[in-house]
Amino acid sequence: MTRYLLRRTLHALIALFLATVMVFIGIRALPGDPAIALAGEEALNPEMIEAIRQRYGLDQPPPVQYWRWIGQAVQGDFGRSIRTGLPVSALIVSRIPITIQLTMLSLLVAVTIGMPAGVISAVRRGKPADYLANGFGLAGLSIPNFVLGMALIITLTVDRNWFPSSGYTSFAVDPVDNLMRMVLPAITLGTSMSAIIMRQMRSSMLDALTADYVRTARSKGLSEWSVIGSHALRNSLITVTTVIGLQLAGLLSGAVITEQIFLIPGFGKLLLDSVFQRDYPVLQGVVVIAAVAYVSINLLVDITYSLLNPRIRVSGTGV
Amino acid sequence: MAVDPSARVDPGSLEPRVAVPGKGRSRRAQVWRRFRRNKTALVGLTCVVLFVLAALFAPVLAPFTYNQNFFEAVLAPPGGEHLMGTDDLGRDIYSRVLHGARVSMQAAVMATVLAMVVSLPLGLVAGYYRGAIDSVIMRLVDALLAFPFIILAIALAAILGPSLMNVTIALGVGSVPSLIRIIRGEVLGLREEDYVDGAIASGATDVSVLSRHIVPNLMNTLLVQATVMIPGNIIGEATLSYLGLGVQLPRPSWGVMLNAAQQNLSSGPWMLVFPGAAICIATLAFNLFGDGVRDVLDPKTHR
Amino acid sequence: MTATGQAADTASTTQTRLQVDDLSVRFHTDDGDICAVDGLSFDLGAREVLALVGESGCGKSVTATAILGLLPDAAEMTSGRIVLDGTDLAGLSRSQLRALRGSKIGMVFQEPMTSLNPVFTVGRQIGEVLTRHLGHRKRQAREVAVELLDRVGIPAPRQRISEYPHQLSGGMRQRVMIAMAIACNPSVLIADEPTTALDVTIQAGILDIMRSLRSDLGTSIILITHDLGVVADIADRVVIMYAGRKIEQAPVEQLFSQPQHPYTMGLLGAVPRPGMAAMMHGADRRLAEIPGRVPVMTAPASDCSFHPRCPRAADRCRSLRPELEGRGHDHRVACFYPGEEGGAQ
Repeated sequence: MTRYLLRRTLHALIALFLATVMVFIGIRALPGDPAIALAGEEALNPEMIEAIRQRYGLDQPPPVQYWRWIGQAVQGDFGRSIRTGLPVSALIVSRIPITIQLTMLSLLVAVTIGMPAGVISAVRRGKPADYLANGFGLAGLSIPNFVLGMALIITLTVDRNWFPSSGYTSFAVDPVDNLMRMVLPAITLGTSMSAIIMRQMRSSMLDALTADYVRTARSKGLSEWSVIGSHALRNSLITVTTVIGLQLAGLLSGAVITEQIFLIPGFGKLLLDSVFQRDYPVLQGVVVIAAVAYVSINLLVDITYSLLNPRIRVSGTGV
Repeated sequence: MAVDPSARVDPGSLEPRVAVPGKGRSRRAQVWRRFRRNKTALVGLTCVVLFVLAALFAPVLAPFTYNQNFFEAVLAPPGGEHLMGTDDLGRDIYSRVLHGARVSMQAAVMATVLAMVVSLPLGLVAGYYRGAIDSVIMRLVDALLAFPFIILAIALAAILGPSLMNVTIALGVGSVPSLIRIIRGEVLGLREEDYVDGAIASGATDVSVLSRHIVPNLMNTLLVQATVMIPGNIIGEATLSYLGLGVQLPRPSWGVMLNAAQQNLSSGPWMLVFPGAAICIATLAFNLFGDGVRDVLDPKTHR
Repeated sequence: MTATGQAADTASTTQTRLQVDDLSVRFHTDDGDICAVDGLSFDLGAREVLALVGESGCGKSVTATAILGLLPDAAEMTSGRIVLDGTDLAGLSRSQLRALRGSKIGMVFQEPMTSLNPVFTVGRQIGEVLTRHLGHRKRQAREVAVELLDRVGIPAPRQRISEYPHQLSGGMRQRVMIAMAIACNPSVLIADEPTTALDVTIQAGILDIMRSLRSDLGTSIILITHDLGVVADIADRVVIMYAGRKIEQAPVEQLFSQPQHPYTMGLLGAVPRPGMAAMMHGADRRLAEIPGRVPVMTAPASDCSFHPRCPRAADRCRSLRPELEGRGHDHRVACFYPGEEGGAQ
């Protein structure tokens, strides 16, 4: 068990190292000379550019540049934004809580819809409730985030004004307004995930319901409530939890688009803005932090999975 | 139960009673028979075919070119001359949706093919030879998997610059790492099969083992993966184009059309409705079809 | 055959615990219906071990699940009456039926590897039966579970009780299954191939447990098996099944000494005498190989289902279905040409 986790962590660290190398190479492959970009519009004489090149170490060979960059990054220094001059790390730190709030609310939407729908659909297999849940699952998978978001805006805000259509208010400033503004984005982001959870839950439950141990539970005279709610569900939850965890990381992707539609100044909006403004230091920092978050979440999911599954927890025979 | 009267007369006629179900039918016919029974999958297949035809014959089917501006009919509501209305620049939305199918289809299929072409050799090598080369490939795969799909695609699209081809590359490369993982896993399993061992023991070359025994057995997996990837790529293309990182004006992508729709939500909601419905229906059709294919090829999964 | 006539056979000697009468089960599959059990009747006396014997696919396990009312969704009981201690199970509500399962009927399934829930401890899975049927509190259930594990011969039960199934060997798991099935002292225990997956010494241990259940607690046992060594070891009476029908039934010594059906004789090929069988542990105790396989029945038989594999098959066997007929005390056989010489009729 410990060995497995150590190996898993080591692999995660190697993956992150290689990922940062890719980001480093990728950013340098972007069109345009970074020194000119860094210099900005006001200073375009060759001496200035050369000075910047030296100051940022851009005259050094790439491995040295990488080492310098990663050394600073580990200490939380991702440089400064070309556009605003603010430290990249401060920008990221200010945006992250907003995205976390959005993803958590979306997760809440996804789990409260997806899990019960999946269980009901499996237990009532072939009945109207199953068709309804399946229809919802397929629709949820097939409607892109931004189409759903716009459809919600057009039906619930433009004509009816039930919700504010876009923008963001800090929870600390006005909690009610904050939540009102988060409702539609959370539904937008949570719907496709609830569809995925529903489908996974249904499939795991169907597997569990035909398993020998469920037949054993029935042969013991246990109530259906306890057969389904305890014996079958507990086994299904192992896979479903894993899928939820992996989807949680995937929500990060969805947040980018959702924040763009609803103009929420979160982490994803920061990413897109940095792409459009060619603000490379910000882009670089955001992508690296996204990778760190993604890899960490996946690692945590793995650990949770092995804790949930006694076959792994107790004897340590890994997956 | 009544005894079959004919049995008393002709004992030979009893034989079919003992027939083992499904025996004697060719596998392909059986697969099709099982697929055909799945009504929703058939509906999906029908829509997929219509979608492909629309993409192929868009220039013939569309009443106007995608680029023609009717300045006398800007933001005209659906009906009359313009079946789905016109957009803010007076272009016929029906024609643009049809041409959008072409873009969507092209990007989704090409990205899927690209991902397969890149992933298959790498997955085969990693799973078949294992050892050091496997470790190297898998660590690189892990590194690519460190980026969420859309963020990777956005970053790639930003690096490559916006165009239909670059969207295709970004989406294709974006799904390479997970596809390599899947293929490698399958190959690892197949490598343990007796007939593969037998082929190796009888001195078959690696190339012939791979091409005769391993790749043919991967086909079901690849087909199932393709049915998952194509709808994902349809959404991916639309998303990147919506964000302005994809297909460039004036070519009509559904994503581009939706971006324009967002500026006109109150004055021309049909600008959202038709391309939005097109994306949803196309994706839904591929998902229904894909679910059907999975049911047939992999009876273990409950769908 | 009639229900009353069948019951009368054994009611005179022993008190009947379980009576199965004209049981038929169909499976509705994508490729049409399959007739898994066809008009099966038997009864089980107090303290009796009845062996249900046949090759795989002959309907033994389906019979067991039908008795428990746990047939899979695709299966349908098209006819039959199941009477447990005088109560017709058909007349019971779902919850009354549930109350019987695990308390009056215990079931041990074939696959000890998959029949225990992997995510719960052994103690919880046994304790569950006790809390459900006997209203035990958690702690009390745990104590009783320890005793049960001890009774089925698991060493260090106090320690084992908090382990998960994957930490136990196959034999241990099967013992846990038995402990679960007998937790409430059921009057009938159904054991479906309880020893098939286990090696010989462990098999002997499991059979010992079943023997002591019968002698100590008076449990009646239906033993489903294709292992004639086990049958010789422990059974009182034997029912031989083929393609969903009962084709022979006899007390165990009678069956082994004077088998009447050609199929039974074929099965016994390697194991002619009970005494010998007991000594043949481990060797060739499985059913002797009879060329061919059990047919899949898509409709109730209108002929003798065994005729394609039968050395004695004649025209009559191909066109008419033999019914069960008496051949001596409590010995019945469904064959036109039964017995040693095969030409008595």
